[in-house]
Amino acid sequence: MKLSEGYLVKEIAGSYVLLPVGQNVVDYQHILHANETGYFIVSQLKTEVAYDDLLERLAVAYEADAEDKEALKADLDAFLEKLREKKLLCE
Amino acid sequence: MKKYRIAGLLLGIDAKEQFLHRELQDFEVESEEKPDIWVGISVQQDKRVYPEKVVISAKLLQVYEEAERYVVRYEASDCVECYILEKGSRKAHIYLKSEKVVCHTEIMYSIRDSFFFYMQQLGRVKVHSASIVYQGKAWLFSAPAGTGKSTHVQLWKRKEYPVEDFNGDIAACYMDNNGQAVAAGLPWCGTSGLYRNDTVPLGGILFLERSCHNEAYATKTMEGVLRLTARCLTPAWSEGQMDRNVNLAMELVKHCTMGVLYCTPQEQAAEVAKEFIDKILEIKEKC
Repeated sequence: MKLSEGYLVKEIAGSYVLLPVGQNVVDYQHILHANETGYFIVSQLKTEVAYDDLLERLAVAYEADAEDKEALKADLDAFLEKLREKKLLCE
Repeated sequence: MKKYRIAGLLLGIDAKEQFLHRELQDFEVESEEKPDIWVGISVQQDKRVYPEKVVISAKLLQVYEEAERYVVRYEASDCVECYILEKGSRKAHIYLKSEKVVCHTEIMYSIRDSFFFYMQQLGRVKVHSASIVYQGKAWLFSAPAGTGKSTHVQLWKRKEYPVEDFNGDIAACYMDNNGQAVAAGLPWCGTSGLYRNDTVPLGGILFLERSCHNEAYATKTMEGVLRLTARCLTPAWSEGQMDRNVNLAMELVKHCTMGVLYCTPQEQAAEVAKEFIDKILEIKEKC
């Protein structure tokens, strides 16, 4: 899976947003806010990545043990669902 | 070539007199300098073949992209075939369908939008707004069309507050060479007829929202940047252009006040806005 084309990831005042560009502006695609974890996920999705790989990268970045990994998985799934709702994810 | 000083930039236009709209005259200058932005207007000679890649498809226009340029074509145009924006330079070429049919509005929009495309590269953004000068500063009331920007400005005048019109439709905002946020008048003002050739310190931007009550608040950084970016009608066809808009917005937000004004079309809205602005000016005077 990969982030859809036509979005700029930007840090503003310590928080992160995905801003629509090009045709997505014309089509009134909304801005998506993200925290640091969301920003990490989005930056990994700039190139094609499999779900398991993405989860593994998150675990390494956050030095997660087995228990933390469950919580990370839940966060990842929730964030990916947000991206799907806004049609930001190509799978 | 005629030259015009607009928003601190020198615009050169190579075109017959008949193609130039009257408002440009108020910005004309004599200058030996090389223009920052150049626009040429001529008649399309051969049938144009448009590139395959469409980056924007909207109700009023299509934007095509090639390696070296963008090509912009209006839907249902009377006299402008298209205009071309070179990527490697700040040169635009406007092509007319014929010299016999001259639609000043279309040509004006083509000149205007070519200028805006390149002025973004030179650190300026265009903010859709009705603006006034109050206490020596420009105050922009920004909102989508039909919200009541011009109505709000009229309320200030009805209350006989000491204001002057700045522009009825748009303003260019940027950081000048002294690191000050400024608003620049433009020779384009929608249907308002209100414009002036001036550059004024930018006091702030109030984003209007129609409401059943009148209330103003100052935005935090994120909200101010996002609201301003949404009202920056300089192009966001690419990530690079959107990045520029956001960076300019972040810079402007640091140097002037961004606020939201919930407002009705009644005079109290102007009272609330003025009170908000007066408080800002009072605070700034103390600092």
